[in-house]
Amino acid sequence: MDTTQLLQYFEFIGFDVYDWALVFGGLFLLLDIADDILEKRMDKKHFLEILANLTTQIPYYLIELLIFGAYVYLAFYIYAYIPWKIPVTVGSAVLVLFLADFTYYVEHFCSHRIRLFWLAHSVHHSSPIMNVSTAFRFSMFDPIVSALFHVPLFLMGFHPILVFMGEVAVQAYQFWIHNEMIGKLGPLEWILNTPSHHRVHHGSDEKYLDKNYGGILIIFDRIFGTFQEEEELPTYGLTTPINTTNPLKVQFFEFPILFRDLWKANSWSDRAKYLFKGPEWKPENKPRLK
Amino acid sequence: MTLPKHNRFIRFLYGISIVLMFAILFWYVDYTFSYYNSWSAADSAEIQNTTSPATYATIESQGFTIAGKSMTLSWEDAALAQKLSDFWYQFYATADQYYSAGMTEEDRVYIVYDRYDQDAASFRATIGFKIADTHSVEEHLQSAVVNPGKYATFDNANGNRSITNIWSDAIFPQLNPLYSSDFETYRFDSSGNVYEGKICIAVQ
Repeated sequence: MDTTQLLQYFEFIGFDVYDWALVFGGLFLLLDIADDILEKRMDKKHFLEILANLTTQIPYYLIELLIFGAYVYLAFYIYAYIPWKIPVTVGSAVLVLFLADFTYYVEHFCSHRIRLFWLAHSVHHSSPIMNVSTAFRFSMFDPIVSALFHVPLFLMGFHPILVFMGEVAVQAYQFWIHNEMIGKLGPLEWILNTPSHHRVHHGSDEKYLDKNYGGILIIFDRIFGTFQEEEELPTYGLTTPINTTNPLKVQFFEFPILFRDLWKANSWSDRAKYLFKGPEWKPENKPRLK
Repeated sequence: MTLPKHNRFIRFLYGISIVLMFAILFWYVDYTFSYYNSWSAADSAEIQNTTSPATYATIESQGFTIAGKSMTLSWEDAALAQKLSDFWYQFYATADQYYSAGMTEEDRVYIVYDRYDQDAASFRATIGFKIADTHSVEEHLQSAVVNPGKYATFDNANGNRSITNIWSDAIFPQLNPLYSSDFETYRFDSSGNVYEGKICIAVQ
């Protein structure tokens, strides 16, 4: 295959793989709901939590539509002026997938440890339940954060189509790991991000906080010391639960908290630290609240 | 570590569905790759078959001007095909920047190859839209002229070939090319799909 055909292939299968993952995501959700009904866990509150998870997709896709064009333009603009271009081959596509997963790890780490990005990512973690509907719980600002962190891949000289498909693959992989149905998977737990590892990531228990950031692979967590084994079933949600299923409050609950902190800050240095340090940071460096 | 209580049958279905999902995805990726590979081989065969003298037509063109974006390339560059491909992608991504007030066809795009320099092994490629001959090209656009004359025309319906493929074909010397202003042209529909492609080589 020549370059043009390879790019057409990757563009074609990238979107198709995501579509298939969505179809199976719908099947997993139906099974989750059936299980909740049979095990008598489905009450009004639980149903509203599932609905709140799914309705975040509406503003997310609206923003995605708005910024996607700008993101594509930026990507091709950078790529056009980069003198060093990495040839489009199957090998470079596999490399991009690996680097996209590493980029996701970095993005995810920053989304937890930098409050400005936590504004968006906290929406995903605010769900007190853990099923596939949680996988669909996004902030409307997530596309912007994701676009920002993938710019270095274009600067490295990878073709934008390959980078887009790497991003899509990393996102599509994570639909199936949001569940409490699947236990540990033996040797797969050493390399891949699994339901067990991702339950830890969503846990608000002290030992589970800011752990297991991986997308497809768990190896970056093992290498950089952010890995935590699942020892008992986590408590999901935030350390301070939001206790609401109102779609507007779900999207924006963190904003008034941040604005209040910025307003009350004594100096510009403290305001900058509120924005760029961890969500738990206080000027007196108080311990994290439970 | 104990998971919450689940209906055993539902849990079994869930597990089977996950395995099925990965099996389908891996099969689909592999199947599509084989399909594109076989398509590529068929396309190469088609190129060999359709560059015979029986499969090109000769037309007379009155000549025209296009306005868009230019870049200088070398036919000795090993990455020429990729650079041309990237040039097209960049143009399509920002096509509305190259609309001219004098555009005569909004649904047909051209790439003109001119300014051949045998010493430098270079040529200029300009992608753009046809404009009226009397229109002054806007400052932010670059123009290229297709000279009036005779052109050998090859079908390129799906846009998978370019003039550079014809250059390396056995038929090329037999065409008596002029090396003046060769061009490719493609029509696209409202969804941006390309069709009705043609490659035109200026001949004596």
